[in-house]
Amino acid sequence: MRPEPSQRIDSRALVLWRIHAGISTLLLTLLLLSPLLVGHWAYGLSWHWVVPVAALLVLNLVLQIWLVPVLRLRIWRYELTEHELELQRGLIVVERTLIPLVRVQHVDTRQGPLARALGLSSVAVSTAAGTHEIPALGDEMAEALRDRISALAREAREPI
Amino acid sequence: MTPLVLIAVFTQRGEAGGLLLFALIGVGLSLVGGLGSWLRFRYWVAGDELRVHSGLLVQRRVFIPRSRIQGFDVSAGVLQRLFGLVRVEVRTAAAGTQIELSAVTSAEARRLKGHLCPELVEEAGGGGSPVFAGTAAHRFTLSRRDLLLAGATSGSFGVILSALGWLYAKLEDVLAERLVDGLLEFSRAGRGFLDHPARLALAVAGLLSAAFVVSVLAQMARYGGFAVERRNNSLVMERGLFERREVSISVERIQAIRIVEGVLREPLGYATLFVESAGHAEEKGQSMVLHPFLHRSRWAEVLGVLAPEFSVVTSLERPPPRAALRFFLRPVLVTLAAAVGATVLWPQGPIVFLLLIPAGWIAWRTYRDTGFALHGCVAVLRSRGLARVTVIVPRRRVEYATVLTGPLQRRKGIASLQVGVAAGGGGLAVAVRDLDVQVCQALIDWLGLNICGDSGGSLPRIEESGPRR
Repeated sequence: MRPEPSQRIDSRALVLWRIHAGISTLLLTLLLLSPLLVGHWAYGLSWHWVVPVAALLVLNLVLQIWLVPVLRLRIWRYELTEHELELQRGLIVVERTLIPLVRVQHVDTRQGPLARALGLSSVAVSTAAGTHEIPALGDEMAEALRDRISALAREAREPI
Repeated sequence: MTPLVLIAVFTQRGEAGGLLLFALIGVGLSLVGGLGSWLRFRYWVAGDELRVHSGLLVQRRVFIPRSRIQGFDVSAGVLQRLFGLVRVEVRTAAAGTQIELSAVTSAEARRLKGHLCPELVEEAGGGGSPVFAGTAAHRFTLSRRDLLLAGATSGSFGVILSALGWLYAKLEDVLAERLVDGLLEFSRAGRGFLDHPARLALAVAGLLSAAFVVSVLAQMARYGGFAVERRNNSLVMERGLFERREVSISVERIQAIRIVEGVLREPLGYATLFVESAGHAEEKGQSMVLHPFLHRSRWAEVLGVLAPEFSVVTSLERPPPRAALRFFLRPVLVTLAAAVGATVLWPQGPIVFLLLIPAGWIAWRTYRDTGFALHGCVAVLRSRGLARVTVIVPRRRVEYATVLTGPLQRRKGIASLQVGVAAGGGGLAVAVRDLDVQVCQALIDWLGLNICGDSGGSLPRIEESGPRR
């Protein structure tokens, strides 16, 4: 069995993911919960229906904000060698991807407003068959990785 | 477009007098527009580029460098054939970016092709490699029997059936008011005709066979006069009874070969062979057909001649027996849930339990047929939805490889794999599920290898499933 890729992503990813998950899950929770509450107060819908659904939604909210980012962070790894980039990501199903650097078409760093505030960037590696993204690296780290991948990819390409 | 809209608007208002006038204006406008865009349309070859200026209001200038051209297709619709012209489509790797010259003479098409894609043109005399001099041995066609069988097993009659249904609905809309009385009369006359189960069955059978015949004819028109040929370093496919199409692709541009054995074709041993490439789709979202109807026993011979790189003799690694249960679990559980639901809701619900038989059978076939092999520099991946699909990818065409492991898979030491290929615009992920984890790991190691010996001219043959592990 191959060893896991060696590098972890920045632990500030937790903050980033929690805020993202918080916003989207909270919206979803409110969206689903409000008709139930309206149903209860305006149409006399029994608590027997409202409470279990609300409990599930709140449980989901807690899991999404608290547990899911922790698991993701624990699983996320990457490793760059001279000829290939290996990624490991996932939550329940763990995916390990190997990208030969010869196939890399371009690399870019990306940063949303929240990530910028935290000093985080992601590195997106594009091949002709799609893009793979390493999320949440420290800004300098991300730039260095991007430049390194780009340089190695150029080298790998030349002898052909 | 505009004239049609105008007509539509006034038709709806039903101003019969103005209608003719507007129709005339519409026809006039479209004539002027057509003439204008024809006058505006300019193409020429400048050095290594094909340049096109077009557009009446919005002007479009497209320059395509020769090295970026992925494919050069020549087709002739009924209209073009009437005037002895052809349509030329130049494709690049970018999805949707293409130049279409809708009517040029075939001599001009040949000249352009010679200029832009010299590698796609057969060379007169000893210019090309003597091995592929365009002899009959490098050309494959469809016999009349195969064409008929291909039509009969295409499975497109479902589509035709729904098209007939749509047509019927439209007709009903249009003719409803006038016909309702007549139909009532008719049904009164033939009252009870369809009440008899046998007659109803007869009517349904009649409709189905009509759809079937139409679909067979459509397929035959599509693939009539099919031929595929290797010329030097390119493949040239021709087809079409009424609309002739000629599609060329350089062998270098082929990313993968996909062999699809449809539900109706598999028992007969036939399959459709597709070429996966970055810029090449006959129609949107579709891959290029290399051969529409080829028997299992001839895949070897044909692929060996057309694209020897995709030659493999290998037996496939199958999912280990400990993975078998996983293939049944999901389809059986889903069917069971549906059946239980139906039983609760309807008195006839329990009949849904019968679906367990086909669901189980498909699961069994999926388990039997799933397979994966690495053979020299080529990977072979086989999976099944309804049709059995085999994909052949050389190592240098694999953009990335992924191994996926779920918690249940991890306990049993199995994993699924995915191979990324640059095809169909955004890329294609070819997946095989539930293999031994060592087999999946071998894929990663194989892709990580830096040097790979040439697989050489081994004959392509994909055996049935390999031995049980």
